[in-house]
Amino acid sequence: MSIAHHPRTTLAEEVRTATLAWVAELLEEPEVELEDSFLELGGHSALALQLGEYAKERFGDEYDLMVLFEQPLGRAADELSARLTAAATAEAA
Amino acid sequence: MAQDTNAATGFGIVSFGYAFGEDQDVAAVAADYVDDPDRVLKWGYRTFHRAAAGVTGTDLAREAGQQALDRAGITADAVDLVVVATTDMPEYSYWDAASALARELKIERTQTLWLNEGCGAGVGGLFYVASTLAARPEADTALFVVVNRVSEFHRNRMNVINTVLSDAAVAVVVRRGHDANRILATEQFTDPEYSDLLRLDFGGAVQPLPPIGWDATDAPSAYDQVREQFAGDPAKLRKFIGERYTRLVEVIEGAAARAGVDRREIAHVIYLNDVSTSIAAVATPLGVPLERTNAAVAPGHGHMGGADQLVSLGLQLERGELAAGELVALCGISTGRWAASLIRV
Repeated sequence: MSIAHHPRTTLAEEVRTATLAWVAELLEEPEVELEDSFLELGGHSALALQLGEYAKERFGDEYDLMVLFEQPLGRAADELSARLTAAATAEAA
Repeated sequence: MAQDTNAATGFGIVSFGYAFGEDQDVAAVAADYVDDPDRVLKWGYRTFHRAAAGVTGTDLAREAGQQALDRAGITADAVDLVVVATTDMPEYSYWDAASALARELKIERTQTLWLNEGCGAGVGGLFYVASTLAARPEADTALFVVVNRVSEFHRNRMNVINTVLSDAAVAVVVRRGHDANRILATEQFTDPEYSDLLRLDFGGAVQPLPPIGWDATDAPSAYDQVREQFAGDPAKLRKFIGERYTRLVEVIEGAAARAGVDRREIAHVIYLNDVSTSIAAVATPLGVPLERTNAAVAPGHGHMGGADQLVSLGLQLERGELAAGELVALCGISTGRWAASLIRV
């Protein structure tokens, strides 16, 4: 694993783990998988906003709501970590 | 200008009347409406009301209206104004729901107004009641009825928004100079960008008939329509969802300013019968805990369109949950319209 790739992977894992934990908490679902859909689990707009606030507080940015509503949780987490990484890279450049 | 400068010239709610469709157990019937009933059950509704076949919105409105009149101890001929708000498909075209109700109540001649503005109409409609009475000094008594009678041909009541739509009507008798349950002020505005957000494409002049094979169980959900409106623009979607709540706080604060009261005095918030997290999203920024909202009422009734807020207000008053002198904020959203009314118990 390259040095450049390592922090990105760590961040991606961190976002995924946090996403699952937050969704489990907000939706009161003991077992949440990366393949699960936010809406099918019973998610709705107010919870999506709350989830976004958690992410913003911890990572500095929110989920793309379109991705969160339409794709599995893992994709929503990966999209967020990709944006965070791109922003960090741009800042460092 | 405050709508209520003093009790003598202000308007208060004298009585409430209700009509509910038959109680339905959400858990028992959800699978009849959607393929994924677990998703519906997670919203937390226990019961909703479904009007029996042949029971119209006007039937519900008449029942609620008559009860409110009886409880006020007046007869229909004492009513100077009849305002009706309907929040689902009207019964007919080229027809007037307020006029129809007045006839059902055997009123021979009165002023009427029909509002068809969606789920905030029960809140914003109070403005039209108060302002009409204010403009007619000789008029003292109004009957305001809000009715939600879902047309299951047009809509799937469990797949429109994240609530279970419910059939009910609520009526209030509003009287000049009544010193309890005073309507202090209403604040409302429309953002016309969202005019089409919940539009049903057929049934009007542009497309009178449904597509061949139309079935409400397959009707697009509000989320499908949201996706269409905001396709490819997540920032705009985020703004819309956030503003759903911040704008409610904005109109509540606007109503407080209009009434000349401190918004920190608001003791109760009554929103649509939404899921509890949505109700909390409105109440929490105002410093009002969930226990002092309609969160406990909603699971037993479902979302009765624009009737939610006045049903909750009436039931909570009857249960003694609202004390004399307390300030209650009613608030709601229609399609692109935000509204709040302040009531002094």
